[in-house]
Amino acid sequence: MKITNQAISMKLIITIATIAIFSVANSSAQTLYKATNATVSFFSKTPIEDIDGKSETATTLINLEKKDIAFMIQNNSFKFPNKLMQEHFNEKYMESEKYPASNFRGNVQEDINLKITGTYKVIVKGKLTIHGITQERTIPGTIIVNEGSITLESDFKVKNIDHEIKIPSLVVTKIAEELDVKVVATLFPKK
Amino acid sequence: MKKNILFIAMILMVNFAWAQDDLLDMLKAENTVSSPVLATFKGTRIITGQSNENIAKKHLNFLILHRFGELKDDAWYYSLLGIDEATVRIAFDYGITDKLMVGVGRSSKTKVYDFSVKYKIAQQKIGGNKNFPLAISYYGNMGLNSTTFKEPTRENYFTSRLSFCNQLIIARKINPSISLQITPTFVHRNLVNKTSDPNDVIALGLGGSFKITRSTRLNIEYYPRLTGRDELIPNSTDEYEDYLAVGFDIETGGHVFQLMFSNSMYMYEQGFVAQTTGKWSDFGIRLGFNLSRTFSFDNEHIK
Repeated sequence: MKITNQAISMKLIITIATIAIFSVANSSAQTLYKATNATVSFFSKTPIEDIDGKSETATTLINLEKKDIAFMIQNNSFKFPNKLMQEHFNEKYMESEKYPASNFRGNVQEDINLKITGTYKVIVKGKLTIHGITQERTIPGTIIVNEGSITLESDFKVKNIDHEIKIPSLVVTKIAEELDVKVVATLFPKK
Repeated sequence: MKKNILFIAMILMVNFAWAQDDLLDMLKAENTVSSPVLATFKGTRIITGQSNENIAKKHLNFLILHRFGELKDDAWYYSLLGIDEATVRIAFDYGITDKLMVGVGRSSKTKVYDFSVKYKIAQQKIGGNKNFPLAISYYGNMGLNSTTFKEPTRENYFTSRLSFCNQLIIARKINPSISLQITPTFVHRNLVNKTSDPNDVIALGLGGSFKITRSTRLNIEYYPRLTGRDELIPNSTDEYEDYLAVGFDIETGGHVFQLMFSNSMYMYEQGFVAQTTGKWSDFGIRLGFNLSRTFSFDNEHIK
């Protein structure tokens, strides 16, 4: 009697375990989308000098069920027309050796179903970390859900002072206090 | 049975935790990119000797280098810090690729033109799965002495004007504040002053750069010779000295300004490695500066 009982419970465990494992694999395959070549560009405009940097290797994940979004970018992947600017960006301002990556994690605030194709104007609330400093941010964006792919687009501003990025007085006229940031990402189902 | 329930609960919890997994942590875990280490040194030269740094592709670097006269005796005020005896080297460096740089320069007084090439063999990289601890470069140059021959009556050869330098540059940025470099150097001169003087001089260059503020650094450079140490200075009973320099980098956006004290008037390797005359102990040192400005001709960048 004791033995049968144990046998039944073992079967039960195996069944539940199988269901558990499959349900995870199943749900992650359908709800997780990923991009490894998202474009992040920024613009600094002053009367004296325009500076722009662009990276095409940002990584992005979205969970359609939870409506969670995460972005990560290696600071030294930003390319500039002038290599000296690129060096200064990493050496002096971002301190890329100390803080190699910038990132954002947030949640879509709207009550929408991202599994249905369409174009959604959304507000994403979350945490933006640049230069080791995390700021609570509410960032507007567009999510375009297609069959088999998802496109994320967003324009927002980043203030140097919010992330303790100090601009030396010598170049203060050349670098804007507030940078325009543009993000475009096309995500595909994560394998 | 209690055990079993616990086991089931654990499985469900694992499932729960897995599904809860933070997206950002997933991105971080999947990142395997190695980052190149930038700005090991501020300029293409630590002080006078080469650093591992190159000019980027399609970028032109314009350099003006000055070394003033020795500060010893009354020269520091009589010729105002040696400015009366300034020697100048004007040079251009151009990046053909991000790894290959070519340069040309001319020094006053010695009238030596120098033609150089520097190639990045390996780049220091951190993080990810392709990291590498060292930056390694090759530097070579050819010096062309354009002075008229001292003895025009005898048969002179064009090759007598030539001298060469080969260097292996091995550098490492230890941390954001400290960079070090070892530079095995081989200098060959086709023509030397006396038959007893060696044509070849081997030296082991040592260099370091220490960050003071975001825009300033302290640099030290020393080139002890391993061979040819007993070569005498012409018309003198003194031997040549090992080159030693201490300097500062001051960065002002587009310019890098390097200010230094050194015991050599030469601004190319054949000179400062093999023919340095100043003694630090006698104040045989010179004030000098390098000024460089970089111009970008890179139009490929899409706005």
